[in-house]
Amino acid sequence: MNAAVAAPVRSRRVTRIFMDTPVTVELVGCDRDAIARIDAAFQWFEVVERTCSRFDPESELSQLAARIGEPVPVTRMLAMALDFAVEMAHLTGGAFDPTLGRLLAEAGFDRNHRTGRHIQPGGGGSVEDVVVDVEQNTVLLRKPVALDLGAVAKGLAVDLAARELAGAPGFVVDAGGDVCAGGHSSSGQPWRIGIRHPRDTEQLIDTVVLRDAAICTSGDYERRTPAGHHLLEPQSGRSASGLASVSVIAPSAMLADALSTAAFVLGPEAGAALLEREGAAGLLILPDLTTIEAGDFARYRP
Amino acid sequence: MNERPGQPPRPASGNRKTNRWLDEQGRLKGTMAGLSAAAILAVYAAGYLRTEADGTSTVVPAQPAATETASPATQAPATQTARPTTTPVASASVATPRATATATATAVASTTKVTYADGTYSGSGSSRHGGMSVEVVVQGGKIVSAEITQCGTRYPCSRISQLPARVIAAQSAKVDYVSGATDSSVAFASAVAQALAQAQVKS
Repeated sequence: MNAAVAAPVRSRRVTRIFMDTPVTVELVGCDRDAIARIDAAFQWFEVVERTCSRFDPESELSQLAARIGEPVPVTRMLAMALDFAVEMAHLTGGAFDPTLGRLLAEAGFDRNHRTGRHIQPGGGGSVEDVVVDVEQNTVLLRKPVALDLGAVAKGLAVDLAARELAGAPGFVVDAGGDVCAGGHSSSGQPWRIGIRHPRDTEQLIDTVVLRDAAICTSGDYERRTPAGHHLLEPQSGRSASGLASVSVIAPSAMLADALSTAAFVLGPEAGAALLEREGAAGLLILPDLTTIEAGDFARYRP
Repeated sequence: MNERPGQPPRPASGNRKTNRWLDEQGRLKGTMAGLSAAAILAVYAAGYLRTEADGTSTVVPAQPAATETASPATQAPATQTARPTTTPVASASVATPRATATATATAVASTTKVTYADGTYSGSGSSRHGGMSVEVVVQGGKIVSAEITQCGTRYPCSRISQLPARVIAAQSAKVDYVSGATDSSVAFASAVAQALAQAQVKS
């Protein structure tokens, strides 16, 4: 870097657990109100979890799932999250599917379902049965649907938290590998984000430089059960197997997370095509460690 | 902010021609980019106090304990999820009341960004999978070992025991953060974070 490097600035870094995941918020500068801003950022995770969790029978999502056949007034957050999820499902031909809660439960991802009776295996409905009205903030479920906003909620929380920190000299929100980075680090350098090696998770397989962008990774090494990982093919209900991992860089974590999930399910060719169509950059890694770069991924390397 | 060539430009900040998220017409590339940006703005504008379904506008968020108590047969849920702390500490503030520092702390001068004082630190964490305690040993300012001392998760400890090596490798990597698929061994991560919070030398 030949540009002048700013003098080191103080930064604060706090880790808490939300959505079963360690969430780290780092804020560079902003000494006086740093703690308040970091708290405000974390509060979004709290609200998103309380709204969108399928594991919590008290969540707004769970409450919604119990009401079939009538338009239910929902919060702006749930309306927008569901609308985004349904649109993404249509765009990807169902590779991204927010109604896979039933399949996930059957495959063993049922940690809290023993008490969360809202998920009825065999509930039958599909994404076509989810009608979101973002004008009226209502959702109509035509049939019982096992809604799962997992691939949307975490990214949405990261983006909302990042907005609380916007304007600071630098910040990062990292929710278990969903990373949104803005500005520069406390050393004045741009943020460097490693991408985990899908077959040797102690190693990094690549590194990118991020500034006001988000990166999310979906992989076959996450949240495994004996039956496979948690990214399921909607048609078969089995774990998708064409890719070892997909990392996506996009302007928002919500988009990056949803696209990485969809691309992982679609496989190498269709996945890369989706990313390019959506203007995102990606690194797709096949099980034999062949890599495919989508969009202008190479430009993000240091 | 000076934009350097080779750097991803700032998104969502208008119509600058350098913005690679935008096409020639200044519109966001792809249909979903626009939709996600609109969704985030709308939800943010609505504010989290007003998104509460019951209309209460308390600043202190509801305890997520309801979520945690739904998990049977595990230890007490981690208190770090309970509420935002206002403790003015500069380092990781994941400490739970169970944290016990058994440190023989000798501060170590180092040029690395995060500095750890020599000593042995213990921390514990829990997730919906169960609880776990770890012991992290710092020598010469570096993490030399991270051991699981107690394991109450539903997975056998043998499956998780490869994790300590990862902590050490991640330290040596010259990156600020790592993007990876979510690992379910949350308890380990939070226990280590807690132990290291005690080891961190305030700068």
